[in-house]
Amino acid sequence: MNKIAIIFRREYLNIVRKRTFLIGTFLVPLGLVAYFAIIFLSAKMVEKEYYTVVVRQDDNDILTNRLADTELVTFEFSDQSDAELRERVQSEDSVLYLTLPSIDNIRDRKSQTVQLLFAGKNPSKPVERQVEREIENAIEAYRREAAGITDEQIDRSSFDLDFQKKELTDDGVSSSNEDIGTIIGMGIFFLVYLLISIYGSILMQGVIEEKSNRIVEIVVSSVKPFELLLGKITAIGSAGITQFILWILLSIGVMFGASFFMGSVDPAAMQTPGVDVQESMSQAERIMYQVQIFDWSILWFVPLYFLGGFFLFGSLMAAAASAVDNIQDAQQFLTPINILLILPVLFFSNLIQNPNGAFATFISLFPFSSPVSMLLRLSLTEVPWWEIALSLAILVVTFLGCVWIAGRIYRTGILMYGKKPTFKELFRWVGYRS
Amino acid sequence: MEDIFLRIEGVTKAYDQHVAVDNASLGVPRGKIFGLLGPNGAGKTSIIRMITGITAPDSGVIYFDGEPRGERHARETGYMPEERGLYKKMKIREQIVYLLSLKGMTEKAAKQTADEWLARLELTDWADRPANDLSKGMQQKVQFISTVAHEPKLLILDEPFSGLDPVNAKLIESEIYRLKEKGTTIIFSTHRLEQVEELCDYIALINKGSVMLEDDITEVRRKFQKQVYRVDFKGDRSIIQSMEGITINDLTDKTAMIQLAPGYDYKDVLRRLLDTPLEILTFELHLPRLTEIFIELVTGKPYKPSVDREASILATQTINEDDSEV
Repeated sequence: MNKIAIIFRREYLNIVRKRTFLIGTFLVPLGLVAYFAIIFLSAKMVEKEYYTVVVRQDDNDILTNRLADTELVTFEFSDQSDAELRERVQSEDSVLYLTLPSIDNIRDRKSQTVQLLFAGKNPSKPVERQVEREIENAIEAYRREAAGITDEQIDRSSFDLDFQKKELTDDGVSSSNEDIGTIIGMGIFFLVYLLISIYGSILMQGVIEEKSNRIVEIVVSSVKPFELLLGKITAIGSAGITQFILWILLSIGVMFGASFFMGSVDPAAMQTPGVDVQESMSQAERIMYQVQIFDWSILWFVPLYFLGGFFLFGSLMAAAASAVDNIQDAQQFLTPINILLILPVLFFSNLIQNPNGAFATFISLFPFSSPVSMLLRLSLTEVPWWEIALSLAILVVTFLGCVWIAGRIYRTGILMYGKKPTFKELFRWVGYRS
Repeated sequence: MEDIFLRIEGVTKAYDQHVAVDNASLGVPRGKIFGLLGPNGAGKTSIIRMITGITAPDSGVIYFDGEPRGERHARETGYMPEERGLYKKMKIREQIVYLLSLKGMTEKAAKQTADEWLARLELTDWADRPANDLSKGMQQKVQFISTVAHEPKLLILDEPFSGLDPVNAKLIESEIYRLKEKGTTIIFSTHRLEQVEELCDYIALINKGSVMLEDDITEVRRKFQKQVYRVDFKGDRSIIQSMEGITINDLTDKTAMIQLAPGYDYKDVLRRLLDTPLEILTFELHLPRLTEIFIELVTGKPYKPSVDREASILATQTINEDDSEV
């Protein structure tokens, strides 16, 4: 058997046979399910709040005539004074006081500030939105009338395009949703981040253990240090992939279980052209549905980017570990590596807000941040294939370079005991002849 | 001409500014036990690492059984470093099989060999236990098995007895002799010279990266002897002090180390001693200890053989220094 294969087998079995591996494998999907369950349940448990919005009768009858009650909001027109209404708002929680703009202010302006007063209980976003929408509708209706545009003309000129961007797959069509994309993207982002850090530190501990108990010297009298390093990195990376695959399988299992209990929506049955299926669902059903229609093909990229990121950071961490006698001493070399590793987390909100921006594009190409950043972008937006290919290519070239440099440091480091080397010495080791 | 199994020719190895091995040449005869001796930091480990192929010389060549040393010789070499360890949580049999398969043995053969050796060194009951469960002595036996079980042609043992209890030391020693019988060439590295005198056929003394001396061990001692005789006596020691033709290197109430002056014969001195009132118990030529030769070579000052007051202390002394040489 090839020596790298022998090392691979030992290192791989060494990890997947460990109790911690088993625990991690089962705990993480449970955590994931708990994460989704909390979102699911909190969506299900949102209470509806009903409000009365009071408007002064003489405020602006052009608008007041056009305001209609909505699901959550009832309009009330009062002849009380401003002071009296303010008092009422303060005494009754579910009463809001709306002041409408004057007619001059809405005739030809593009926008106008409107004030809604509340006291005590803060009305929720949907309430706010419904009030806002009613006022806008009223103003628009008024302005159409003033311009002599009839409802019939509007009706005839308006056109509702049901534009559906859908990926053609063997199973039919899929569609995407941004909110759920963000949640899933965040999940994957942190999962891969976690995998790279955890398996990176497993690799480091392995290197330090071999060095500190000196068995490494026996091993490298049989194999080249670089072969040992390669065997270790590939084995531990594969263990990470194994864990990821187990997580996915378990999650699918748990999701099936969850949809069995919570009720599921069959996306195919709901695909009626021209009708937004999600309109007719409850919030909880909508989340279930969105999870189901999410473009899960992103999962194919996870192992690729994880491996790329792991080879990159893992090799550097292994090099750092090889140069020291214990994990504490490795800290000085780990600091710059950790800064690189944490980079995408710092730019996380930037990525979410503008996943197609130049900055997001840059950090999803930059090899030290691309593994997690590109995965987040992929779950948020459509990324051109060439950007994916380019980021993978840059990642591969960079990790090959890092593995090579790490191999040079490693083969010298594992034989050095005693004093803690400096960065300068590490770089000199790169140049040593073997 | 000796049949040389391993030849080192003009080998130099430097780390940064530090020259660890400086133009060293050696020949290790086939089937013999060869002692690589020198103080800590002399370059022994550096030489060994080049022989095992862990590092490569900056210049010079190493010939392994007549061929320049290459990767394929790794499987014909067994190496037990001074500081040695095992995977703490890995089962004993698995570790041995792992290390033997890295030497190129098939898994099946490695398993079989491992079991045979575990049985011979009385470790069968421990085969499925992790190394952590074993005592230090047992672990050292496991390390020894991993080093020799693939039947290497060349065996390199770096301080093989350090930290071993006398029973296990004896066991390992007899295994070393058994391997020698089978024709294995053995390099034995140590800074404890007194161990070597019993075990080694040949020695090389290394200091500051250079080979200072290399020869058959009895030859070395004969070459360095200085007409020093050890005299054990009963009686008044001032009689010895007043004798002609000798220099007294050391003198106690029972023993004298005397060196003959040029032109004097030991028979003559012995005869004169017998004529004195002293009772002479022993009169023997003192062959220099390796330590003495070594000190003379390293310091450049001729050694003065003394009465071996420290013999018993040396034998029981356990040296366990942190060898930080590179």
